Amino acid sequence: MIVRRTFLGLAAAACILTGAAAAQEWPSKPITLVVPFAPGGATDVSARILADQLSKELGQSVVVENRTGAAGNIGVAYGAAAAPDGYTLLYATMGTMTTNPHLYETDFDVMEDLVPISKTFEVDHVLVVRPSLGVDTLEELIALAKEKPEELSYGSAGIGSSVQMFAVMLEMMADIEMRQVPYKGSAEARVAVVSGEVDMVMDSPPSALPHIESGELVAIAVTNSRRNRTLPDVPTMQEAGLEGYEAAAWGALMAPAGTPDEVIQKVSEATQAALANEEVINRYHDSGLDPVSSSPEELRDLIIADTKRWGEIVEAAGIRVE
Amino acid sequence: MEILAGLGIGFNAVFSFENLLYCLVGAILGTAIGVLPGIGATATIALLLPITFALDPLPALIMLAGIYYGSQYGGSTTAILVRIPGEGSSVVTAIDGYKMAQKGRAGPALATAALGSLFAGTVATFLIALFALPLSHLALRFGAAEYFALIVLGLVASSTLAHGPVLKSLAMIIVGIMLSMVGTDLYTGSHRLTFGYMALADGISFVVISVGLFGIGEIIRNLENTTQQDLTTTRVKGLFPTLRDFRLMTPSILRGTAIGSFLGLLPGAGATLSSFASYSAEKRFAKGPVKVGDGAIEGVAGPESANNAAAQTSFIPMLTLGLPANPVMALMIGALIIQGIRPGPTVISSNPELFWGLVASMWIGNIFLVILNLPLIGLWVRLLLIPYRYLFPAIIAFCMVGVYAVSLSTVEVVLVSFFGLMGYALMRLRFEPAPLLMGFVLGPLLEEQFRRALIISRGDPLIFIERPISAGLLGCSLLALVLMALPGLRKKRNVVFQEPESI
Repeated sequence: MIVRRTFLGLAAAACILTGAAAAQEWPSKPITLVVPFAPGGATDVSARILADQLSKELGQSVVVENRTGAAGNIGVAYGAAAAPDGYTLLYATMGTMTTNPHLYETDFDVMEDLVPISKTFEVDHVLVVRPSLGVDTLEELIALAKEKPEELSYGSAGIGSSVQMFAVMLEMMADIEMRQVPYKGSAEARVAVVSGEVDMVMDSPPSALPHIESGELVAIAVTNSRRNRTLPDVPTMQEAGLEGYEAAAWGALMAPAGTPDEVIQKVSEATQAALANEEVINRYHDSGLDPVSSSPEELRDLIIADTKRWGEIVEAAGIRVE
Repeated sequence: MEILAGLGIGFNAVFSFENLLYCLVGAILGTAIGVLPGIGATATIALLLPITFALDPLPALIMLAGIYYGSQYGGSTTAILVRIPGEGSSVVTAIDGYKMAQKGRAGPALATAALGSLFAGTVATFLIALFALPLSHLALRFGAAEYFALIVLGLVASSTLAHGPVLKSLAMIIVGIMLSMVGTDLYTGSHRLTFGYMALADGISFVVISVGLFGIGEIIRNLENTTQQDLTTTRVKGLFPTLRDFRLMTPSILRGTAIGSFLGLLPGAGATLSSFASYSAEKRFAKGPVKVGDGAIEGVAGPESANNAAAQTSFIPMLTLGLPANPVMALMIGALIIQGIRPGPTVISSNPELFWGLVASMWIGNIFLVILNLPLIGLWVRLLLIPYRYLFPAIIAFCMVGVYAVSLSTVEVVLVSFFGLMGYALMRLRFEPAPLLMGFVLGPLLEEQFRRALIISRGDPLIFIERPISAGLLGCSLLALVLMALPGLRKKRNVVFQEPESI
């Protein structure tokens, strides 16, 4: 009985303390990092690398929990609905934050239910085509696509994936029309280009690299505004003549709205420190990602800008889901 | 000689105390995970990914390969003992394996599964060593139209899976396909038949259906006849296969190995199809006194060899094209990438130690499994001696906890119960669940490839007959259907069914 009473007393004391002192003492117990994608994928791997380092920076273990399904919407909804005490954080991506809201009916509102902490990574894509298409430059590709409207095809990794969105953006900015052929992931889509089943795909540079080197794929341009580390000879879209094309997918840390500002600030600083760690940088590079941190404000601006941009593209391209 | 040199590099790399230890740990972990109903590969992945970070690429891959084979073998163990297939590939093992267990021959069934797998694994290892490079291009010849045709052929052939009338098994296949349509449409992203439940957005999981239909359904049926249940499990006749068993299983293992080795090269559908295809083959060619479907050893030997051979050869498209056949292999690619190694056409020449080390480790993993599992057979069989009234609540609890642990979703637990009742009703009405599961596994592939082929051809259905491989496979399917529909010609069916396997 005494044990029980003591426990109850402690519990009551803990309740009173939570409001006031929690933010200073945070973190006093393990933190859950919700990842809305399956274990083993690039997003999950990068989240685990970060969680590992954050554990060291914060002095508390950060545990990854995969809440998968519905293009990431299940995990994001779960993270958004969690208690805003700093013990549940969300590992979000460009797709879940800025394209899904245009495509699906979601149980969350990014701006209202979540607060930004820090950007975590950026990933460029590279436009690769099958060699038998007979084009080597973006200019030639666009000319061919204009000559044969709706005949060229691009592989996508599903509706709303960056692989699709970046290609749609190309269609719009170059004023061409192509056909989308969806696959169950970028690996399948890449192999379809290698086998000649589709004409092109927006692929991740390190994955495409072995096939570019062996001549099975021809690299046309990278999507970001600067050249990619693994493909220094491949021009950017802008260098290749497509003015204004700049796109990179990203990952970010978010927290449920209402999380104390002190906590957000602490995590943001810890994340910036973690992403500056030599070993973390190397591991991110090995996974094909560029570690990039940001302040909460910068991340907020990025989300607003990308949400607007993809919204316009989704609408103009007439991508409809439900 | 170059090949043997390659294997030499591999064995050299693998034979260190550390690597062998990881292999053993992987095999043990995999077996443990495989025999716990409801816990599949995905849960393992989440648990083990952080460990692989800290390891060198080779030990990491060795351990993952061990887990992979271990879980496959463990899945067969539950299929045989309690009729719960852990993965698509052990669905058919549950048919004859469980019947053997009911007749008191669980021991020989388990031993057959282990030995057949080892043999198939050995053959497939040498196949990879000999032909990895030329075979890596086979997958590239299979586009959407070809995969569609292959799956059609698989479905047609599988209508022979069940005992009863063809019409009943066709009906089951179609119910399975319909269940597989629940979830997100790959091509439009819209949710189908989810009734507003987010938990259904990714469809119904295989584990949920197999645990419900097979496991829970069987338990309900067993509880119905209270007088017999203990009798069926107590008569244990021998733990190991007899000489006669070996004579019966040898041709089946050979057939299974051939079918599996070929189908494993096709990452889109191969691994799943292999055990079904092998089972269909056994139905036709097995010559033993016990009919396949009634607890014949051939019905265990063939499919188990096939799925293991396929598991092995599916490493070829994984390493050379980066196409994983299942979640564990996706994790292996992840482990490779973390170590800075990208799957691709040059992976064999640029990382020979890794490639050959992995090939060698797969084989060693198989041996470990046999060493590990043969002594365990006695233990497993004794498990069946536990009175059913104690055993069944434990099975149900494990199933429910397992399903919930993987998905963290209560909807799935409710679904397991629903499919349990459905499984019982189907058994009472003499519908067999195996064709349903086959439809469920292959249905999404069928739809996906069909629609993709039509997108590529811009809606022109001629794509299926203009491409030779696709036309050939569809022709075989049509012929098979015609022959099935004409009872007078039934005796000649065997001749027809030799064709598709030799393509």
